[in-house]
Amino acid sequence: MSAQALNIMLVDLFRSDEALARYQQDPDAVAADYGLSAEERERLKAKEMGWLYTHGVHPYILVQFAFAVRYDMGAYLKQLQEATGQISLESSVS
Amino acid sequence: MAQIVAAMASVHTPLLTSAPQMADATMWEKIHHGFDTLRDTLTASGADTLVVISDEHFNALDPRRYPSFGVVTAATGVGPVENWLGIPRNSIKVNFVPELAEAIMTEGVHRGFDLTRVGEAGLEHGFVTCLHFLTPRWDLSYLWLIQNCVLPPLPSVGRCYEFGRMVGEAIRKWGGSRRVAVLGTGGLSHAVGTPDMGRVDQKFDAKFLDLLCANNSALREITDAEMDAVGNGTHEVRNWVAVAGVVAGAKGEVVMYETTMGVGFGMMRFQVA
Repeated sequence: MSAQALNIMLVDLFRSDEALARYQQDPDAVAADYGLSAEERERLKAKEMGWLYTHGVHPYILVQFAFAVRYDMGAYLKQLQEATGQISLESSVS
Repeated sequence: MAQIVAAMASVHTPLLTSAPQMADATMWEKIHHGFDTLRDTLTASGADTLVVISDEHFNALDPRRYPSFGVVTAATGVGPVENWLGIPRNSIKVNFVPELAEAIMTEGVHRGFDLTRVGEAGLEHGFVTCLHFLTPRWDLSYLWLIQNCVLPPLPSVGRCYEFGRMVGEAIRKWGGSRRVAVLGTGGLSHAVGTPDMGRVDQKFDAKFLDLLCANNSALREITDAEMDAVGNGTHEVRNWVAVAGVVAGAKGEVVMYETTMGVGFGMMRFQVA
């Protein structure tokens, strides 16, 4: 699994209200605890879901983090589609 | 000797409880009818123990130490661990059957399955969402067998079938008088957390359900490439295949199939003598 530090940190955040609250209060300190790179830290703070997806965050981990922080799922999909160049397949059935 | 008295499979999409508005009233009638049919089968079987074969989604296990096949060996389980599932966090407690879990561990390892003993595991949506509808009083004894369907490399579909076959034989060899039902959860075709989230492939699902219900050797030939092509969540059909292995040779019937909540939404049961 690439981007291991980021993946492990996000798992910890969506598993624990306390960890998530601590991150929301002091994101830089928590990011430092996990050894995120400066870019990872800033992209996560900005909740750039498309960047996180294309830089190795596991899709199950990313989407559950999005659920845990009540991120808008329409915006989530749009970001991923823009970051990957994939057209919208939402609601498509083949 | 313990008996296997029912075998079935269902989707476990968390949207069932986290976002029920994703299906309209007509669809919910069909969904409730499907769960009612499975629940009636379970009740008629007289099952006192329910073995759930499911994956988990990084809520119960650590992605740095991730088994292909995990056996939850704790005496009890608490969940759901998710804060977004629409069911209060940690409001459910179930009793497991650690003696049966250990019997499966032993049988598996003796037969060449390098199983991982998982002690306590927080109950998450792979385990919880179906049972929220099937056994809402959480009043059976349970067992949770975890297959890796989420973190490649994944065990092959054929291997999952053989895992199920071993589990079936371990249960039948186990002493005591328990009446055991088996439930596989997850799938069918769908995409999770990816840019194509929301897609469903009815052709794949129809082919898969045909193979599953026929329950012959062709079922074991489904490839990772076929599943990758129709969405990463599709790999969860391994849990249905394992149930086919538990009741090897038994024919199945589809209880429902629709496309809703962003998944090929299926339920089925095997004819267990």
